[in-house]
Amino acid sequence: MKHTGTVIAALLLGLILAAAAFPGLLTGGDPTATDPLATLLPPDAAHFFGTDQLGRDVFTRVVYGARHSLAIGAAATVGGLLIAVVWGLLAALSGRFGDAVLMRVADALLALPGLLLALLVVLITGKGVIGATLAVAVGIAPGFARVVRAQALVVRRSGYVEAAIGLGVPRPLVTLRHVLPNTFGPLLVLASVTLGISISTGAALSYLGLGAQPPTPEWGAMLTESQGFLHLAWWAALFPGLMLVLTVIAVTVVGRHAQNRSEGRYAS
Amino acid sequence: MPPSRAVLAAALLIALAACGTENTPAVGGAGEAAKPVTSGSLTHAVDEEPDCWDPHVSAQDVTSFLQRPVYDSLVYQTPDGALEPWLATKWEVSPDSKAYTFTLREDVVFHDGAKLDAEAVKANFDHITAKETNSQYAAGLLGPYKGVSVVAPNQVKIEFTRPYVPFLQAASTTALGIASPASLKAGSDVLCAAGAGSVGSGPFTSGAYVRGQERTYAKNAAYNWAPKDAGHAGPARLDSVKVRFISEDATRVGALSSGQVDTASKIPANQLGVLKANPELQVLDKQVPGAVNAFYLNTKGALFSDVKVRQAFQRAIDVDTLVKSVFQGIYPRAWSPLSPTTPSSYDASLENTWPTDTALAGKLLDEAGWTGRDSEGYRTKDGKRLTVVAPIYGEASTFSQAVQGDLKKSGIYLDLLASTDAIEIGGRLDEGRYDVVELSWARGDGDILSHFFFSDQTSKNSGHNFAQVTDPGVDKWLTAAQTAQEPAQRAAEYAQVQKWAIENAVVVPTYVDTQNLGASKKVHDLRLSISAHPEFYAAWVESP
Repeated sequence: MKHTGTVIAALLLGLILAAAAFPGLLTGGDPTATDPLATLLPPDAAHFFGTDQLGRDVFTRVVYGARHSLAIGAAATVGGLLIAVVWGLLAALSGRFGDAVLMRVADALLALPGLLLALLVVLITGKGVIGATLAVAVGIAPGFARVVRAQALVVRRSGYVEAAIGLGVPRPLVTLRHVLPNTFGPLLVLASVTLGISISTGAALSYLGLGAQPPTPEWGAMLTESQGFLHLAWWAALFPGLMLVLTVIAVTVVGRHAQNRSEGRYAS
Repeated sequence: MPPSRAVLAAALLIALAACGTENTPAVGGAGEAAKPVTSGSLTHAVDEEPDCWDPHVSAQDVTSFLQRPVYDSLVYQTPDGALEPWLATKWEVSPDSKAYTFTLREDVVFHDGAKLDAEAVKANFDHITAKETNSQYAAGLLGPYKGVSVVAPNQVKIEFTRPYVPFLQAASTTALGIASPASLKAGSDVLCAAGAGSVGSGPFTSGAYVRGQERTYAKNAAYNWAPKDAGHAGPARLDSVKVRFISEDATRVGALSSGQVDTASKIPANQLGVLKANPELQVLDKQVPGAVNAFYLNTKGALFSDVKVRQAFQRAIDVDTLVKSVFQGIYPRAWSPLSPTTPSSYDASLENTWPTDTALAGKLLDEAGWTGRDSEGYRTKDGKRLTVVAPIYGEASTFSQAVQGDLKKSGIYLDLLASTDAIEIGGRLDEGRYDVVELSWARGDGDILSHFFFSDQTSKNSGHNFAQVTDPGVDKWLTAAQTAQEPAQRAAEYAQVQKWAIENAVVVPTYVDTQNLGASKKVHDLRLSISAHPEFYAAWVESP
């Protein structure tokens, strides 16, 4: 079987998505319920992943955490796409000067690593889930914007666009009807590959205390909270960390597969 | 009995009382094989870094600790709480306790070569009380301050508008440390910046300072004016001291166990087991005197102006279980806003008088109208969730989060508003936009109660009256305690305040802050001061 890895990744991703959508199906617990008499308990039948320093069930928190970690990553990717579409289209369609200015800004931002850019943005937006999501979105937008612009330039010179202009269709309508839809394909593939990076950047911001705030069960935040107890309770850090790694791998493997397939289709 | 003798008697009583209860923790006492080494250096790791290094300005405990090696004070408070001469050889208190006349040592020289005299001391008090200094703590320690005057070249008089007995202990704090008068003229930017701007007469001179990393100190070879019970005389034994700022608990402990630092402050309870198991390390511990870690309830806020809601909050928290669980059974829980180690002022009769009672808390909340429940199980009134806003500078501690989890069981939402924006938090506190403030405050005197409960000690006035208490009875007891000469009488007045604060549920004491200092076994004669910080003066390190 050529695609065994992809199948496993897709199944895992399905499970994680199920956890994010219906956490109550996988666990009956409350992710923020504390129990001072049951702190730092190792994994057993009652607590599959053990308990943390406040006596919260790590399994329940990991399950509920899927929702928060995926939400930040997905929302940031969508947000980044929206920014990039406006940015890239404006650059492609606004003439040489506007194009130069917009793309040099993108180049300048691309010079910074995504996480560093996100940190800078968080300083402005303020910490919290919304601030972190925006920060990740702005962090990935410049890369997207370049793809949008390149694709828009190709589409603009295509026969059907020139024909539409020749037929007297107003330019804004041409942009909306023809240019925009035809830049989407490659962009969606890029987005599916970037999703994994967005999830890990979002978790990194939470780990640094800038994203989800306690007691929110977010994987990155759980890592921070448990690291002071690592020598007493490895499980409180291991499981959220493991889930984060598995999620990013699964998303990336599935995304790559989509990318390969779409590129294959281009070749045929 | 002349007043000066009365004060001396008081000091003696304090000393005796303290000696009776506990011994000063110190590492490597007499009888150990090694002979003190009078060279070498020590590296210490602290969890916090001062925002401003001028002890006359800063309200941070860490500023007082880290400037202690540089600045001496008029009076010295021993680790047991007794007061003894330091820069002052003796003092006289007027019969009405309104004026203190200090006679100064004549052999003291500041690090810049200037001589200590009455004018120098006056310059310090003028600096502390000057409006442009904007003192956040030291000026508050001076209480009903009236003025300072030079009586003779070596005699200085400090006067108060009303009797103020706690002043002698206040004069022993680093906040009222004596700086070289020339250095005070350099302006607040220089004084706040540490480095060469910190010029005192202490056993160590101020060395290089790199923000976020480390601060160094060098031996003051001319030092010959240590207080009698400092544990050593003459110049310090260490050639130099380096303090490194490591805020992350696990990293600080790692630096200690790997030998990168010789000593480290504030070892968290959950790491103590690891340190004690290490044959090369030892742990010194001491309960910090002063105000214990406690929640102060904003009695002027919309929520907690109702005493029933305050009492519900007080009785809903399972303090015993939470403290035991979070601090691995190592920290004692607190029953009074004062720590049991505060010299002659703790009211032990409060113990076990307000046990957890969630049923009572529920009943009180029902009576106060918080009868509804929302989807998350929190109580509501007129559709509004029972939210207790708790601003926090920095990060919410594990303990605060444990309290948050516990209060949820009673339907109370403790909103931990953590922020590293000092201006935002300060603004909230000054404007009363909070329901509770959680903090502790180290001080070796029961008068710390005045900072928390006297009506004029508001956050805006640099006080800590976060409960916004304005009660004439409390003011009367606190004033009486500041006036009384006899320790027993002062203790009786302070006991009234402690009882009132608990009965009216303006405070929920939680645990007694405990300093756990980790140290290499190569470090000797290092002891914890009255405020539970290490004193570097007598310490020495075995040569490798």
